[in-house]
Amino acid sequence: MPSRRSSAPLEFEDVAERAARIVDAVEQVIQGKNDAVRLAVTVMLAEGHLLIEDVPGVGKTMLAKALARSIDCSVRRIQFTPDLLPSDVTGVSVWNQDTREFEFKPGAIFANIVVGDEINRASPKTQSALLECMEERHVTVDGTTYELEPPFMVLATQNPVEMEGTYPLPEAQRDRFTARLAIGYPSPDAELEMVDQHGAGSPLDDLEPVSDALEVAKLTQAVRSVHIAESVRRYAIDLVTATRDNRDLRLGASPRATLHLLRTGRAAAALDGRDFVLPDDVQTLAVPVLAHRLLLSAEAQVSRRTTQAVVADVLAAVPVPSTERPRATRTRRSG
Amino acid sequence: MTGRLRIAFHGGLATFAAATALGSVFDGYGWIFPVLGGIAVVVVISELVRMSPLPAALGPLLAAAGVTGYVTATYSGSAAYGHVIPNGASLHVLSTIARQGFHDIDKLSTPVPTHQGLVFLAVVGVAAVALVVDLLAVTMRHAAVAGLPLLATFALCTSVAKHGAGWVPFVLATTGYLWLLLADSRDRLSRWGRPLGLEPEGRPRFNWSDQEVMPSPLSVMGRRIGLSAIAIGVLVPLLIPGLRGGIPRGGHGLGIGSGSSERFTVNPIVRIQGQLTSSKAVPLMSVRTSDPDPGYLRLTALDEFDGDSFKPSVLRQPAEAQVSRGISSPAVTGPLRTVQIAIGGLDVPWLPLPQQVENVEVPGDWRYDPPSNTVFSARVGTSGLSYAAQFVRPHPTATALEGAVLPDQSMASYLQLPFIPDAVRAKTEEVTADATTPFDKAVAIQQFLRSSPFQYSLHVDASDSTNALSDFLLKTHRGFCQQYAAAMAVMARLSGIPSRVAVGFTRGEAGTDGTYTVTTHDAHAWPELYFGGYGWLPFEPTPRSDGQAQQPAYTVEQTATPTPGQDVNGANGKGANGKTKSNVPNKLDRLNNDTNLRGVGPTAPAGPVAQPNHTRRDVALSLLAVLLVALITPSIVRVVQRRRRWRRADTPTERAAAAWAELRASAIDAKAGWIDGLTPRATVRVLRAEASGLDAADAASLERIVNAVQRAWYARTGAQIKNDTLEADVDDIRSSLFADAPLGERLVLKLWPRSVLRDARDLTGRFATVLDALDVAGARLRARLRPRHV
Repeated sequence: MPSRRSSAPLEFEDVAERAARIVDAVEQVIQGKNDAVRLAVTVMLAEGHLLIEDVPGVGKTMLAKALARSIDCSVRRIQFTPDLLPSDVTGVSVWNQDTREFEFKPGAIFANIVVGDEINRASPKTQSALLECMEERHVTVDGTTYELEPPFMVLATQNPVEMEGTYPLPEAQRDRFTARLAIGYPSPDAELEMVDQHGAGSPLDDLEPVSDALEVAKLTQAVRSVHIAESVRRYAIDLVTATRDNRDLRLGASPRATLHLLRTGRAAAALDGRDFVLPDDVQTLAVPVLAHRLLLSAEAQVSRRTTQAVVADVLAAVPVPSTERPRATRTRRSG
Repeated sequence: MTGRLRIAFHGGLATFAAATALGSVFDGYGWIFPVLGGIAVVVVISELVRMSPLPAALGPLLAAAGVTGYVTATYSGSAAYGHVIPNGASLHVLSTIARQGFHDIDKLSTPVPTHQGLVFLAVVGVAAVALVVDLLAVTMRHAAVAGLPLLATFALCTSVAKHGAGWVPFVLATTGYLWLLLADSRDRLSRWGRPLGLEPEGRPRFNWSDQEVMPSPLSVMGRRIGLSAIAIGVLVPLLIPGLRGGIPRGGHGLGIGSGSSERFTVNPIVRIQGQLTSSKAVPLMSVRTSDPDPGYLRLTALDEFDGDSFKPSVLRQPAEAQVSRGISSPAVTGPLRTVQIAIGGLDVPWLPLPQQVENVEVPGDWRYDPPSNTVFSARVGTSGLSYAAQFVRPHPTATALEGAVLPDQSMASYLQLPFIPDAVRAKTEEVTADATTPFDKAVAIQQFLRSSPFQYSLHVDASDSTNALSDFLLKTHRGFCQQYAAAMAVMARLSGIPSRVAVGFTRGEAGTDGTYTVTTHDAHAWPELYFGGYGWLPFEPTPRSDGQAQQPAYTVEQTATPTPGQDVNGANGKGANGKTKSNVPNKLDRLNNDTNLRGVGPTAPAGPVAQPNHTRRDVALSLLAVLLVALITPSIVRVVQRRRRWRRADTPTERAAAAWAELRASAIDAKAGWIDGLTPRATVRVLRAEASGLDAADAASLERIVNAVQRAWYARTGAQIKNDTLEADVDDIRSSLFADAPLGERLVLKLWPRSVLRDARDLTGRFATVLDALDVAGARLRARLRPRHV
């Protein structure tokens, strides 16, 4: 692939094609879960972090590892356990006898893709170690700040909070994940295919990288240039605002959620080969991007509503400002 | 505000609302504050008396006294005690002002200037009405009956004003009355008591905030019903031609004649038709003259043409112009003749006189106005007047007039014309094409109007607007002196000859003793044209067949061949009055229309005036027409909408938006599910699920439309949008959407496009929202002005 090394910006057709290659590669491992895979790639292109939440055994870790493997870059994996310490994640300064100085030993976070397995099994203290790295993309240890190399993505998996031996993620931590993804059980056909494949050996071993860190950086660069019309921006804001006013919610979506929603919208559009975002993109991404940040009110909890259902309600209630753009153009022209 | 106080306030308001009709009577707004002051005095004093322990019967008396004090202070304060209390001197001043007012009423036609006397009369009259309204509505608690004086006020103003009061005062007056009724009913309702506990107003509270302030649904409903009633009252007559009289307009009442008490206060020319068509000829005056061939008797001249009609300008002359001090008339050569006139039933402010009077011996304050050559009085009328005059009839020869020059700038006002249709201009140029001198042109115009196909007929609409003028000249060719005189005056002005319309009488019937009797049937109008060096000369374009209309000698000399139908010498050989009328068979018809249709012969031309027993049919036809219009309007609106949508869309972006709007309208029309507020793609998904008639080609069309719309709305401006086929795509989808519906349903759907109906519903919904907002705002305002303690 000669074009991979060239530094010229990518065309949108190229973006779609190369992103599709990653999706295809991951799908060799995770069968029948195209939506989930696309969402994972979308989040990666949006320079976000992905939280994969589901019951054990549906392929959370497999998805994370497949995505990491399909890209030729540094990958580190952290198994979060109750006794994991923050320094295990970020790194630690040790006394070097030879130089008679403290020397920084980078932690597991120093990689392009960090797979955090079962993140909610670690104590909140350890979970919080990720806060700075995920948002600001650097690590501060003993007063010294170390930059993380782009691309940087945290792929975390977790079991549902109700499961035993888990610590729920703090709100601030959840808010840093761009999207939460539930994989769900595979369809019988897909499961049959999976059984056949896994019988011969792990398909993960056969997975060849189809991309590299440089290409991903260029893809994300291209994604940033995707156009978002004012009406669509306004629509995203309307949606987020609606969650803040919702009676079923104790905590609405943050401004960071708005940013994440639009950023993933760009990535989804680029993945489709479009250079502009549709309200449809925003709608598709609203549940994964918003739902995990929201806190249900006590009444809603009692009536067993889920944040996903609340976001779906908000989507149904907020009208798409589809016709405002032409009207605005007309006024501008006459003025 | 207590209920009674509110009724009193609204009574005053209603009186003022009815008095707004004065706006069409007065020229200017100087009457508003004096009238308002009068009403306020009445309302305040009446209310104070009711509050006091004084007997209620004193209220009107004290209010009347208050009004007297008010007008004394306003008009004769310097003569009164302490500026307010009237005494003999101040009352004398007031009576002088009132007399002035009455004289003005005699003299002036509406709209009248805001002279002191007229405003004074208006103030006194409206204050009297306010007094009666207050008495009826507040003291006697019969608010409904108070409508009668209000109606009287409004009707009086409307009948005096030339074109009626118009719809604005009508709406104001009716609204004022409804408000009064509303205030009264509210008060009555409040006496029933309030439900305990439920009504928020019943709860004790202290409230300055505008929270939970809601208008009472009852009064909201009352207001809306009243509003709708007024709207219907204004709009329905406009929509149905047969009912156009529904909106009050000024009528052309008869002025002269049997009812000698009636006064000639409006434009005299509109009276002529009434005079000519009245069934019996009422003698107006007898004339004895030394002139062997008497000419017309002239009242005044109408010199202002507003495109609608010729009108007299306001006559105003100082006391020096009294005819007893001599007349400064223009020098006219010719034999001096005398005339004695005894007037019977005619009561006008102008003295009927021959063409150019030299001096007049008449009792009373009569003044001469040189520009209009009129002897007039602002103080006395002509009724029962006997007077003598010496006069000269101008007799220029045609040859001499050929040499007349066009006048200087001072006559420019007699050349002023508003917009005149081009066809009339062209006709005038055609008629005067061969004429070289101004006089030749004048004679050519007169000749043109006297010749075929022009026909003398009293059965024409009295209107004399510009349209009527062009209709008369170019289409109907029917009219009487009013049309002929106006037409010739306008054509003369078009040809550059100063002109005006003179109003007066033909010489009448000659009796055995040499006395001419002038009757209402002799009312006449004729044009006067100005020729430099000769002054104003009468012309006669009216081909009146009874011989009363004489062509001046100087115009006959010019015309070699007499026009058929004209009878220059017929005046002397004419028979009795009855025989004359037999020459004009249609003269009686108009009057008979009201009672006896058999009077209209089969050959009688149908007048444009609606015939009474046709009215019902007309109304039915009009209703049918309205229904028909209502039936087809939605589909026409839809077609127009579609055309305009595509035509207005220039840029690709706009075309995409137009396609989307059109797709939406089509889907709504075809009852295919359309949900607003979805994304374009989601909308199309819904549409494809709902409409079964869409095939693969339509799906492709939809796809193209969606792509274009998405690019237009969400892509960068200037993005490439493929939309060559959009219009065809939308049309394909539209026909596919309709394809499934059965024929009958399809017809209904196309006749009443649901998208248009939905738009209309949205519009009315928005209107209702505005009304609701106004109601709430009003309630909040009232609540703010009136905090409730406990």
